[in-house]
Amino acid sequence: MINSSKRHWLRLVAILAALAVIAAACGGGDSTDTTEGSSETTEGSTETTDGGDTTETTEGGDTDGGDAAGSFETYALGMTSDITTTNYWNYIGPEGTVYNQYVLADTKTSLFGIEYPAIQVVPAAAVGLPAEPVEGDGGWTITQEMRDDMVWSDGTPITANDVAFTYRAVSEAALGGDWLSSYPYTEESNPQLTSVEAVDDTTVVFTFSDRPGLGVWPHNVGVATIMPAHVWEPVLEDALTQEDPAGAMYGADASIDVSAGSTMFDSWEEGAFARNVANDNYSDSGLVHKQFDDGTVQIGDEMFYGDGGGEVVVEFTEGPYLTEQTFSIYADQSAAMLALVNGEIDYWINPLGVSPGLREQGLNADNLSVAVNPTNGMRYLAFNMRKSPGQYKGYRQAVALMIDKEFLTQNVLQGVAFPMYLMVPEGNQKFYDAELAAELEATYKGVSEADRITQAVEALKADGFTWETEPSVDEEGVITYGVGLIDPDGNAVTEQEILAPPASYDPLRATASLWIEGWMENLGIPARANPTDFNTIVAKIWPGVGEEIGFDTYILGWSLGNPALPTFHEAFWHSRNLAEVNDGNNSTGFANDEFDAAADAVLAAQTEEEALEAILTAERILADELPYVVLFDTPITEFYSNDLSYPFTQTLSGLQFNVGFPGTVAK
Amino acid sequence: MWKFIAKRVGQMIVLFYIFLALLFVLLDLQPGDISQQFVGNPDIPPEAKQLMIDQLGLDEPKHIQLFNHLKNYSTFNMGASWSQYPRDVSDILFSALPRTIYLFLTATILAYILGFWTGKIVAWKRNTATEKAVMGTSIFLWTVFYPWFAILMLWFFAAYLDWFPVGKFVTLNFESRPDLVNSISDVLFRTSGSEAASGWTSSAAPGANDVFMLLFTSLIVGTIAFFGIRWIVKRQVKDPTTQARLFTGGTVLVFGGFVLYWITNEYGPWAFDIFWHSVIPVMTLTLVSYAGTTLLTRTSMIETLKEDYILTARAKGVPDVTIRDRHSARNAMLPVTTSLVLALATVIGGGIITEQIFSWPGIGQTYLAALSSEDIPLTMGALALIGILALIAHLVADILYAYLDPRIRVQG
Amino acid sequence: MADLLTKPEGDAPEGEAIIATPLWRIRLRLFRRSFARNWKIFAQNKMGLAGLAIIVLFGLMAIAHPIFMATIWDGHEEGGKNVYDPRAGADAVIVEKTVVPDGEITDPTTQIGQTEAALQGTGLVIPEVGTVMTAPLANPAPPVISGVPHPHWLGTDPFGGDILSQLLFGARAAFALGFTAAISSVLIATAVGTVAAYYGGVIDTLLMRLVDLMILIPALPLLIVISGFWDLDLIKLGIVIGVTSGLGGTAIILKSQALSVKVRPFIDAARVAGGSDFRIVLQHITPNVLPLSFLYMMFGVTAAIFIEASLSFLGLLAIDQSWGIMINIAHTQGYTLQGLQVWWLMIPAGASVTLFSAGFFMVARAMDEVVNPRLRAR
Repeated sequence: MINSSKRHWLRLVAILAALAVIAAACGGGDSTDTTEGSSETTEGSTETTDGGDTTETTEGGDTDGGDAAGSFETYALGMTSDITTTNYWNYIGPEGTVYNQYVLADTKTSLFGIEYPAIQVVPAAAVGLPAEPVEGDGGWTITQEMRDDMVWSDGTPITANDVAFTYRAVSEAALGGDWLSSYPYTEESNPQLTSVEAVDDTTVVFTFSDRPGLGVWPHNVGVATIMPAHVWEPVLEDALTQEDPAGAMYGADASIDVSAGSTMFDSWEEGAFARNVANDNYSDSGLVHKQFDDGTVQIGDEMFYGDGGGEVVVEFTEGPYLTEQTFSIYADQSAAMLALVNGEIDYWINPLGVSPGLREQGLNADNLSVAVNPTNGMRYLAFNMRKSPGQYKGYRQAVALMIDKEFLTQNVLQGVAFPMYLMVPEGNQKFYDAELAAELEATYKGVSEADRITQAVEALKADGFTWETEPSVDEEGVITYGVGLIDPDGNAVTEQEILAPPASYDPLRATASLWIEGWMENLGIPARANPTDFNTIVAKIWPGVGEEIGFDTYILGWSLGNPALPTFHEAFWHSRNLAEVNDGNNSTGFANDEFDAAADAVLAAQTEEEALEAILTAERILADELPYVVLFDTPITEFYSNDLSYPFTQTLSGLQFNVGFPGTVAK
Repeated sequence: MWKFIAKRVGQMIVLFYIFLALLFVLLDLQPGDISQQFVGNPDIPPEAKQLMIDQLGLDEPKHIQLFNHLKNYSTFNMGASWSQYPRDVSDILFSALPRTIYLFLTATILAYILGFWTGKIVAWKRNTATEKAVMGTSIFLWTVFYPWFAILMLWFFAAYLDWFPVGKFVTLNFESRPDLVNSISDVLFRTSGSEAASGWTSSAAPGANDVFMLLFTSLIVGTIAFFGIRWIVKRQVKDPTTQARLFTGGTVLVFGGFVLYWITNEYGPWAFDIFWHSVIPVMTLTLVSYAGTTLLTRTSMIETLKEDYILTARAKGVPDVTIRDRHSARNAMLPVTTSLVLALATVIGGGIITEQIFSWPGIGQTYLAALSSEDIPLTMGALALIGILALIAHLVADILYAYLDPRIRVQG
Repeated sequence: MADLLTKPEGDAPEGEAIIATPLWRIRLRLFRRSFARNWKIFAQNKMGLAGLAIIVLFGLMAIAHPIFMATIWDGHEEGGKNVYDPRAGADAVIVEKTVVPDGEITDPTTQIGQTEAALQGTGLVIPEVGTVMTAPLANPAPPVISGVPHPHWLGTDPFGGDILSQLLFGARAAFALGFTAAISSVLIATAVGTVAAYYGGVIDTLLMRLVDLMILIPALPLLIVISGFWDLDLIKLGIVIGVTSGLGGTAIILKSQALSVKVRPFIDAARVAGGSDFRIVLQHITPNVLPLSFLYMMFGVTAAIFIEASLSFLGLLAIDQSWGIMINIAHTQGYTLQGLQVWWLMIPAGASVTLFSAGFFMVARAMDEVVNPRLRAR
């Protein structure tokens, strides 16, 4: 027994030893294999842009910067979504997500930039303010001078040739997305950008088919991205020989790219993080920016839009002070907030602002500061003006009168949203019509339910609506709600569907739709709020050219594009952009010659005054015609570590709109 | 047998193409398409949409699009993603795959080992307090509303106790981890002062997927070694006491070898970071599927215990433990093994909620993102991957059944 | 299994009695008898009884909702909406929330005046300008605020909705969905299983390949796709879940059961007696598969509730109100990691889904022992 047991032992030990040897061999093999594989992939992928080099330079930069005040090692940001590309062509093209923007936007420059918080056009790679268009043979030309002291991160100068190259790449490879507005090369564009040429290193000439308004120059072409020709020229030549040149550009390996901004892209671990490092060759390092009380913007020694009267409101010196900028990715908002509270990240860069629960958590945290800013957007109720009853102005006005925005935002939505009356948000002071807003508030704000109903009934009656039971208010103020609204043609108004995103997508709009349903029913309009998947709503509103557009009303939101010159009026309500014509953004079917003229005038405006005047006209028409009832918007609340020091925190759409100030943030 | 397999494989291929076609139809039924992504940006002109439609071929007739997809799949090519054009679908999926496999494979293996063991014992001890407690817990865990349970786990262990991180699979900078974690890491890998101390952005840091690949390879090797030793011991050693000792020794050996391997591995500090992040999700997943295995094993055991041959064995006076482990458990393993095979197939499919709650960027998150951005090729690719695995698993389960249970006759 | 088929034990003499008693009455008697017998077995199982008790409790909750709405919750109107409405209700009485502005940081949603107004008479100290403060009176409100019970017995959600009302309404929704899904699932699975088993051949192959196809796609991803293009309400969702799960594994199990019935002698007898195929399937095979079908129906309820709650949790369903949506709102509004501090947001809804599923699961397992004698303890 003992013997046999011993024999078994020995056999087992032998087997185990053999196993161990095999396991070790396998394990060892595994390890070496994978390491080799990994070094290969690292080289192949964007993992390390000339890997060792960057890190070394960064470390060098760190010791240098150690002396400078406010310098710090890591600016740790959190994001709630991953980036989808590291290729700048792709980012301006179809992958224009806000997260790509956060990571990549700072790595390129343009002729002009928008200076926040003043929201003014200032030179970046250009010299002076935008040059005037001049009529010449073959169209209108703009000759713009450029600086001669700017370099890419590899030391190559940034020249007019880069601008010309970018235009050539965009037009010849037929790039899409935002490139189309940056360099409007297509024949559909009005005016079309027909050529961009470099006269010499510091002079670039743009030729347009027609006179460009401010909306095009400088607000599209002037602020367009400049790409490095010396890096991308061979890639473009190769792409043009392929079947899908645009695809080849979007898919090209971006690890060769260089930066013109304060940071440069370094690496991306999918689903986990992206990393930028400081650009030690940043041309504007040490440049001082000032903004004065009277609106003057001073950059270096040059003053724009005034002569420096009054006090300095904002002053900052460009860095970068950081050595690396990391973007950790959290799939969950609560997780991002907790990371912020725990000090794992310095700032959570987030386009949506935080939800109420997290906001409370942030306000209670001692290590966090808060910045609350108005946003450049709005949420609205839209009517289908192609059919009854949405086609009647009286009906739209009546619905607008019934909606108590103050009650909705303050009482129902608990103050997480604020009421709006104009399309241009109050945060954009330059184009906000305070006078009109005051008039509208006088009409709508703080009106009792009885008065609302009385006025709404008047508006409906004026258009010829009748009821089975007319809503009425007796002398004692007792309200009888209406039943069975009948349109001027004598047809009973059918049940009006209010499409709104479901509570799980946007509780604010979902809740608003329920209340609006109630208010409409009080007026005798059969209404039903229908929480609907976002994509389904979009498909119902934009079914495609030639399809019938059958929705009744819907609630969605817009973000309003460039605040320095709002051109969204044309996009949203001009009759040329009707959804049934070109699948454009004019979803309501609103077509008004007077408005079209005003919207066109905004685009064609040569000065800000002209643009402002046209915008005010357009706003008045909209406030009267009411294709939309603007409802409310939410402010953007952002939290950041107390250790950080930003150049300013009060700015339209918040810190995230300035991609978190990588070039100027200090610790 | 071979004829049976060949026939099944043939059917599988046909089925797979029908499945793909069905997927395309379902995805095409989604309202709108990816070109609508520009809706809502007033700065982008309408031409942008047309350009995208032309580039992606969105306006081609549907049957041509479907045909192209099927043709692609015939050449083992999943096509280019739309939402990350022109990146290949397979590239996106394969970068997400290791993360999902690591998480779910670990949890599945743990759950089945623990669940089978518990189920076996519980079936034997009917109507005892142990059984009642185990059954109560199992039923709770099995029917608990999973997202809710996962959130509560996350809250308790990560937010309240602060032992583990909230979501994600890496902490960029190791210094921002709790001191205790860094001390452990330091003891194990001597990280302090080395390059690894600065974490994932250090120049020595490997790609996360390389670490994941190595993690689950070592996990599989470990599991096989563990069962291999048991198997060999069972065949070679008859004496139960020696057997038990050898089992323990083997387990310690495998576990020790595993730990030693990782301590000496250059990826060690990073693997440890991933491991630390995966504790709560693995624990949550394990608990839930452990409950299922326990319940299944118990039922299956109870059924076999009523078989005639068990009664015969009892009558002959065979010891209880032998009946339990040799006669009964082995037969009860059949349904459990089948369920394990099927569970392994759904490893990559079942992760949507888990990955969402724990910020774990795997196939589930890729799938959700692809679907909401109406990226048909990517969505199809993710589902096709799940489908292929499910098909293979079913085939394996069928074969296993025929192999393990001679009572089941394979019919032509 | 064989229980249902046992002949009535020698009541009346055969012959006239059978002619005199209508067939349905005999069937009913048979059913009653087998039910009584099965109930006895079921009642021995404590787990099953506990499950049944849970289901009854939820049933009471579901009934309570319309009663409460018509009685104690009636007439709490605000702006034309009842604040207790589970869908649209929002109690706006509690107003104030947040920050008091300090020099640089302003909060456009709040003015100091409002803060003061909201705090007046609450006994709380009005904070100085410059401090950051959260008002305890804000939504979501706990059931008891500083010792005083809230008019909302289980507190309010982040938008002022009444948790209790939502919870009770959720029970209704759960029953509606669970039963729709379970019944449609079992109808389809039984039909597919019996037909495939009885006819065999091409029909069997076709049906089984269809089943294979459904098994290929995990339920949740598939339903996410379907919810994308189909505006699913509870009933439609129930049917979709029923069809997808009925065509899945359940059909295979019921088919194997039907196969074992098919080879029994009485089927041959029926065929010899000239029964049509349809009649045989419907009258002889189906009744023998039914107990098992019923068992899977119970499991089906659990699965359906789970899927609905998961879809709602992911924010993919546009239904009015459910337990899943309650959790989703707590989650999206950022209260999940605050844990027990806001227990009334997370615990009631999550526990309800869990208990409801557990109730049906426990009943199903107890029934399993009735149907499958080998599982019984003795």
